[in-house]
Amino acid sequence: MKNILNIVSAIIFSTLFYKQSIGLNLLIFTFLTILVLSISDYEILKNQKKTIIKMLLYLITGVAVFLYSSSLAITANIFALITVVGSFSENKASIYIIWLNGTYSSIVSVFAKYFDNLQNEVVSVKKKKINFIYWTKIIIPIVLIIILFINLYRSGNPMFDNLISDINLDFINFKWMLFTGFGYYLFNNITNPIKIEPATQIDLKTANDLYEDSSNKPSIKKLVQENQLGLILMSLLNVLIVIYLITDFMYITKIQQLTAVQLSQQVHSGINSLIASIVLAIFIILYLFRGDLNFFNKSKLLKSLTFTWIFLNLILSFITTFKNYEYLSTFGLTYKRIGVLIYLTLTIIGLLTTFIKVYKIKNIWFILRLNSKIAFLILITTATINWDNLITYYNINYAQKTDFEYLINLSNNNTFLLKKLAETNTTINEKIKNDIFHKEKNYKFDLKNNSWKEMVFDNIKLNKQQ
Amino acid sequence: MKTIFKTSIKSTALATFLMWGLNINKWELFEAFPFILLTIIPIWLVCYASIITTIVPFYQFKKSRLTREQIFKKYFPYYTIACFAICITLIIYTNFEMFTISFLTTAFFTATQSWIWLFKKENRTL
Repeated sequence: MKNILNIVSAIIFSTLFYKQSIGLNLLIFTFLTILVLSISDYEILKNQKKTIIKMLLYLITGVAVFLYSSSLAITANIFALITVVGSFSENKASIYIIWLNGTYSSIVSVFAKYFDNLQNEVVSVKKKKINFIYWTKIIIPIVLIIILFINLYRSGNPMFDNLISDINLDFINFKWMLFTGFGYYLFNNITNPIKIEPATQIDLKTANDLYEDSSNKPSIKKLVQENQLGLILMSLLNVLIVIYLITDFMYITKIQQLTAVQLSQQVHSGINSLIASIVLAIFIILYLFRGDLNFFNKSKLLKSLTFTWIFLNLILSFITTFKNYEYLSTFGLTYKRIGVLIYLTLTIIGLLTTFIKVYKIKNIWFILRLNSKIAFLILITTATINWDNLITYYNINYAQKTDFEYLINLSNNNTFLLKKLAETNTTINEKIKNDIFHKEKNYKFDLKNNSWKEMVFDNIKLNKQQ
Repeated sequence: MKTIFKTSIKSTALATFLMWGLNINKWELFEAFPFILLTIIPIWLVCYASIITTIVPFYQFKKSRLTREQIFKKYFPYYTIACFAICITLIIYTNFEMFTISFLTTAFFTATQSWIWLFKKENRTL
């Protein structure tokens, strides 16, 4: 049953992707993969809400690919596929172990299972018993009889003859067969999920909480020493960040007087210092609160200083966000500026998870698990946004200065919006208008040349316009 | 040593089949035949060197503590994931150039299958 399902899926796979670019085919492939996994591993899917949610996220990325066909959506779709396959291997594992299992299953599950079969002699002996002569005796007469009947019917009915003549099998060649073989290999891999051991077992056994190890307690002297080190370090870090924040506040009051170059330099250097300081300080916190200091009754002050430092860093992140906002409200959105905003969001999340780790006495795995999950969700969320269209819309309507060259060089996702603008706005110069019309013409040509497998949402828009 | 040599021969056959299979439409089979024979020697050299430098060390360093099956189970997943990541990075770096894709596909599958040939049960030693 599984084998037939994989063969059919492989043929659909090569029909969808052989010599085709990405579009509707990836959405259909997403549906197909979900269907095949649900049928072949129905038992695993029962009562596993988490896996069903991951499948829904995978489906969302498939829809995003059909809507925008962006590289980000395609990347998110591949990531989501790996996550779904990994969930079928071991749903209870951490997300990074799910990715590891998903990648391993997707790329070499067939080889790993083949190796297991070779190790198991019973299975090997059983495999040798397949009677090829018996199956040849059955298949060859059937094929010959079917061919004979087709030829008889062709001479008896001209319509049937035309129908058979219309079947074009020219696309079947050695490369197509190799491609189909690859599809079969891929489906065989994803329908036979495997785990990486001992990584999966170790992960399942590792909890999120830190416990006091009474058997291996360090001396009080060592704890006091470590606590003192932490106190001095965190106090100095707090003093430093307070001074930095005061100067930064003073700088912000002059932000309106800054030139574009100064503001750009300020935002970028601010981000760089933010990255370096926060990452370094998080490592220091993780080192200090790695074990027994969490349970030491004299570490309350150290904890308070750590929380203060996290809070001050949050303020620093918000100030940098404000600077970035000021910058982009004047000069508009670009991918780099959006990247900065996403980085700031991740920083704020990182600080909050570090706070939870220290406050609730969690271990380092807790931070790794939570942050990986959040990063995955952010990837899926960002993949569902039509960034090119958003950048164009924002820059046209809200930015004080619009860089049309930048907007024209973005992907085709903003073409119709730019064209609408070129038709209605009289202030745009002729050269830019011509470039926009040229872009639209090329895009329409590409859309018209798309096969049904390469279709994107803009094909539907274009058909409606016509 | 005998097993490594035997594996390198099998790997060469697999790599030659994959490499030419993925590129054959540019050449007529009969026209390409002398070239196929000629390429067997460099392919064998590459296969042998790759096996010796990337797979055999796992066995040599761990044979005293782990069985062949345990070595396979422990290191094969990470080896294939790393190999796959390198191949994908190179494919993206070369802008999905067809020859690179076929070369790296061949390299990946040959390396993966070589692990099985080297570590399967009937091979008592390498």
